[in-house]
Amino acid sequence: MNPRRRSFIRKAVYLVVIFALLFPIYWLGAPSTVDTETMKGSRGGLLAQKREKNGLEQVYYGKIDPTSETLRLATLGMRGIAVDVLWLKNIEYQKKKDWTNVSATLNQIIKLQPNFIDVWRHQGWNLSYNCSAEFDDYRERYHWVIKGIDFLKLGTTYNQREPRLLRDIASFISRKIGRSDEHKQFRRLFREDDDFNGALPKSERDNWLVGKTWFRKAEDLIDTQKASTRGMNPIVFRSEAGMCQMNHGAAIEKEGVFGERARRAWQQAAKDWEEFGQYAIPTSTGLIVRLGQLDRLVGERQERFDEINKLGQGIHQKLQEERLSQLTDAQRKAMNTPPRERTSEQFALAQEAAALLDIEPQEIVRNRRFPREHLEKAKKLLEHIAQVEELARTTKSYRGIVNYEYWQNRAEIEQMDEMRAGRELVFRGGEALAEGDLSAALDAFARGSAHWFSVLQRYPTLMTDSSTGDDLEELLEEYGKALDQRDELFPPDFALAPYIRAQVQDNPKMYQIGASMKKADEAEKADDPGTACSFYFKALESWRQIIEDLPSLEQRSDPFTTATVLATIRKYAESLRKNDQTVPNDFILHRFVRVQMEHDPETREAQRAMERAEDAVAKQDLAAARKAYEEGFARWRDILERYPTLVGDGTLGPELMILVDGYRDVLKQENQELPKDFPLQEIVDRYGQP
Amino acid sequence: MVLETELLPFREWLLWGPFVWLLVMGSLAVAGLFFGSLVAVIRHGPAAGLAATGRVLAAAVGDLFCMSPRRVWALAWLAVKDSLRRRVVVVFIVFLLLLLFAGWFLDPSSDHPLRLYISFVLTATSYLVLLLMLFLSALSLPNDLKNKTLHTVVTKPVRPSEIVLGRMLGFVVLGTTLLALMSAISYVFVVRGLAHSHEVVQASLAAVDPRQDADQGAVPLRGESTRVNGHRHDVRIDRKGQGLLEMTQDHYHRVARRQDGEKTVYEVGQPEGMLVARVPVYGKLRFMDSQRHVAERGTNVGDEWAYRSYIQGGSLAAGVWSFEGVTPTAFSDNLQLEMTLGVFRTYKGDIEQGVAGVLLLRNPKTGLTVEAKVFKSREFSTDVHRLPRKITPTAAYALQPEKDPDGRIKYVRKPLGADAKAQYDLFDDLTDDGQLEVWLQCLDPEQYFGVAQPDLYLRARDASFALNFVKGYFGIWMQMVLVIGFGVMFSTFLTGPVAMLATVGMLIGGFFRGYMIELALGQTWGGGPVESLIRILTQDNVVSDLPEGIRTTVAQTVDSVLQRGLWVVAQLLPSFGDYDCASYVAYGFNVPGNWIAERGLTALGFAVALFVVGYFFLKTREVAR
Repeated sequence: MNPRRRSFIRKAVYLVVIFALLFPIYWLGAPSTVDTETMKGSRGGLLAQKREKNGLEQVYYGKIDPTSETLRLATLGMRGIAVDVLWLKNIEYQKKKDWTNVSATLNQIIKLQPNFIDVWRHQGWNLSYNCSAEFDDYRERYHWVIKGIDFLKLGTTYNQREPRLLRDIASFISRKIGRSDEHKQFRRLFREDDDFNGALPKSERDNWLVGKTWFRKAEDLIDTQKASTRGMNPIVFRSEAGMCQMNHGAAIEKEGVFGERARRAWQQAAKDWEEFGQYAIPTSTGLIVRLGQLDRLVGERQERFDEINKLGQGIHQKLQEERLSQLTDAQRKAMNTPPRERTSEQFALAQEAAALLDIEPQEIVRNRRFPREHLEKAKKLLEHIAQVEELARTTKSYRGIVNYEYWQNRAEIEQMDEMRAGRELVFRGGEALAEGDLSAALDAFARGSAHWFSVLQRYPTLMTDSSTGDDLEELLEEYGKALDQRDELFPPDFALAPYIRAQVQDNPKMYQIGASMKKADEAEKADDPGTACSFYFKALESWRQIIEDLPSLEQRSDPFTTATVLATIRKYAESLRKNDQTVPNDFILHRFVRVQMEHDPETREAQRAMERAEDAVAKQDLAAARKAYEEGFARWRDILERYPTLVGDGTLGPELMILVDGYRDVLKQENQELPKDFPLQEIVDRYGQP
Repeated sequence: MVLETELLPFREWLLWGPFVWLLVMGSLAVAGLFFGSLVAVIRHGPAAGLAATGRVLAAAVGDLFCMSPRRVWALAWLAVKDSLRRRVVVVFIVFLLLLLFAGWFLDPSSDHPLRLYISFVLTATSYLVLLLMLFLSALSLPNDLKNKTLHTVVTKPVRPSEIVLGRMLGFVVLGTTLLALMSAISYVFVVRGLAHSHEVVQASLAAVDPRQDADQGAVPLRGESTRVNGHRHDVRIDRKGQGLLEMTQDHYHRVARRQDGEKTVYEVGQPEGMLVARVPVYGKLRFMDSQRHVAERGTNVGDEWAYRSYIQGGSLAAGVWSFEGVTPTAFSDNLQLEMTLGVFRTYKGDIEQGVAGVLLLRNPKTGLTVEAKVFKSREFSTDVHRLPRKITPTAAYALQPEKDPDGRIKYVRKPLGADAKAQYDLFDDLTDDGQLEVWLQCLDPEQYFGVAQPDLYLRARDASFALNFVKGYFGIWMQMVLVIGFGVMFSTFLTGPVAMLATVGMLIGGFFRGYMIELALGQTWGGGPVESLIRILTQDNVVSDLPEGIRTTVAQTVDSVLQRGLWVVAQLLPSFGDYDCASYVAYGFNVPGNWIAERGLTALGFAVALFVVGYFFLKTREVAR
């Protein structure tokens, strides 16, 4: 064979082999042509299918950016090192507050690694939360929050099947803007931000509503395109859109929007929450729960239980009678005491009694009196009850994760006219207070409080809710400020007094107060004033902490509690006296007592008498002056008996001594001295000149 | 602009710069002479060896001091032609391509677009030119030797020194031409890239005073512009129809209203205020503590970056800048004071408002102090205050230094009494022989201002931006000269690839010189190379001390020797990073004359040394004899 022919044959063989290799290459490497919108087209070769199966396919990530590809190729396979270097530079720039280069290096990093989701998430957070916090001007901070959000939005164009990025965008728009310290300013800037919101009408530019639409986008991506929910807790994730609507309602009310718009917002929130309640959530035990179906499950259990009772022919009633007869007197008494009035011991006893009286269906079926002929059917019913109970238990525990019941009630309550009126009055009261219109403020606060109380009466669970607590704390603080400016206390018929009392009763310190008072009483009975004194003091220390938690108590927001504290103080002072001790100058409740004293009518009378005395002195009418002084001091004596710790009040003592000196001057002019039975001798002994 | 190391005045630098150079050159010469003689003595015996050394030195004097400029230029031109034959123009095309696609990399919506554009063009240019010169300079001589083309040169009456210098000069000429072309194109790219205009959104215009009707025309208006390049401006127009698109992204535009028939048209100009080269007058910063005692530093608020020191608000603490040369000729009728402050709040306070501060001007001789301006802080942006020549202060008093019983200097406030005036002249009353002190105090209690020396300066005038841009390229030019010097020097005694690697090593070492010195001085965590190796193998962290014992002692002893060697190497390397003045240009500051002079002389010093060393190495080659 001549060389030319050999060469020709070799080339022909090469061509054939190349052609033959095309088939396996096509079989392995044909690209996918599936349209991400319509999901139509070829699924491609084996590798394309594997990539799709494992969520690795590049085309699904999003756009293929020529710049990004160029940069990646230009690093000659050392992309990781390049990114590391850039990342370190980024940290250094951030440390040195070189924000231009922080942005520039980020831009380069994402061009090199556009599909590394954690880079997007981490740096999006870094921009919106860390970089923004470095700025003093809130407008700059907002600018950087938006920069982080825009960064994440860019990430979604490269990674179209990544719900985590959508969720982060939603979370930043809603929470970062709506919950920051600067949320008022941020929300305002967000409304005015034409660049971010584009054509969205200003009325819809609420960060919570915009956040909600992004949460919905993330949900849609998972529901329609089966995107991975990696790293997301399904129950929390699915609740977020609904929560955004709730927060929108709450936010606009804080900004003074009530009326129909607020009602519609809460109506939508209730609807969203209802929908969320119907969503099937997979659990770690394999059960599928729907949070809104707890009532149905409880009802279903009760129906099956009733059926068992029916089959049991009165066993349930007999068992209950037997158990009732087994209760001790103390348990009976505890059960008959209304829950709010129970002591801690009674609370435990009542719980024991309730557990004893709670008869399970199994007990009925296992009872020897249960008719044999219905046993098979009853066992099936028991099995069904067990399944329903497990589902109900899981549902309940999952409801707890998102506080389902509270938000369900809240969405209902906030739609009530009563509630909205209450909120509006409190808001208007705040406005009037800021403008200095005290009468309007006090009137609005008083009426707002009444509306609030009527809502609390209808929904007593709100009494223990922290969010309601925050709202009412704000109301009490504002109301208290207005009263303070008028030098007044809360009115005796203050509508929210029962709420305050409930707060006091629920305070864990109350158990300590109860225990301390019991021990103090025992010591009193044992004629041991020293021990009594120390226990009274312990009780008062607990009271001081309660007053710190509920500062409105100082302004007598609940007269009952105030009276209780004053009674304890009197007992403490009495025990001190019996123990030959004086009230210390740094007595922990001096301020509280002083406020009560200052607003006591007797104090006003005493002050008037003293004013009369000073007038008479000015007119040189010594007899009238003396009479007025004596009347005044007698009243002060009464006051000191009512508030015995005032003797140790370092502010009041010297003030009284000035009056005493005036009286002395009058007596001196009549060549007399202070009488031996002078009502304020205690003050003179303590604060008078030696 | 952040300047972490202070630039010495040229006169001060002259006191030690040339001295250090002479010392190093002298040491190198002595070392070279010693080793050269040693080799000669070993090869030829003591007498012949020393005689040979003497002959080499005598020839060197002739070679180094009697070069013919004509021959040097002929050799330089040969190097240029040789390089052009090697298609160096390709680099230029790559540069053009880079600029064409630069829009992909540069974010026009950046808060400071000039910084991005400048750092891009300067970085791209320096990478390309340095790489090109690295290849050319390191491969040229070895290739000529390999191809024996050098033999045709050495047969002519040329000195080895002329060959070395001719090569260096040729490459420098070529590189300079390339850089000149690149800088011209880059300048056009930057100016055109940043050029843009907006339109005034007429629907957004409203009267500044809400009681006035905007439609009536002759009232001051405010509104906004359209969004271009990722930003929009607030618009302010006066009653005459003239106005500004206010400062955003470091620039503003002028706007003028005109009537076009029935239609009102707003004509917006090109961006201004961005392509600037401020000439700052920096002062010397010192601090006062909360009792107005002189303190070395302000308060440390725990910032990881210790560049700025903080002034406590609501106290007597202050940052004091002492300026010189504040004269009417330098500053005409007002003083433009610019500052960039850091703000640190210990409580939120009123977030709608900046933290309040006050600027005091003090005559350092008389102690006369006036409260010139109360302001609200603007963090991370240049805050401009124009102080008029005639100042009517909110308060005036004297601040006089006194010694405390414990010997500390405290500035005590004293009333002016009869010397008090309603108005003070900036130059007559507050400066003394051009000296002026600017005191900065934070007024809000428990809030802090963070300052560093370059954060507050007086803006005397502006230099030409184009010239400043050229200065930026001059920085790259100096780096290029050094690379050529190293490349040619190594190529006189190494083969091409090895010479190239050695030059790359020098280049990398030069860029990391600071880090090398830190390593050599033991200022980094983890110890020297042997200690670090032990830590890596034992997975020990870098902070804890190694257990005492023979192993640690040996490792640290070896390290101390290696570290000394590293220190010597680091001292011989030029600090390439120091020649980079891109940040000056990018931040809109004039590259100072002393920077140019100090860096230029340093580069020249290196170039001369490299030339001499290159000559001696070439002299050792057979071909050059």
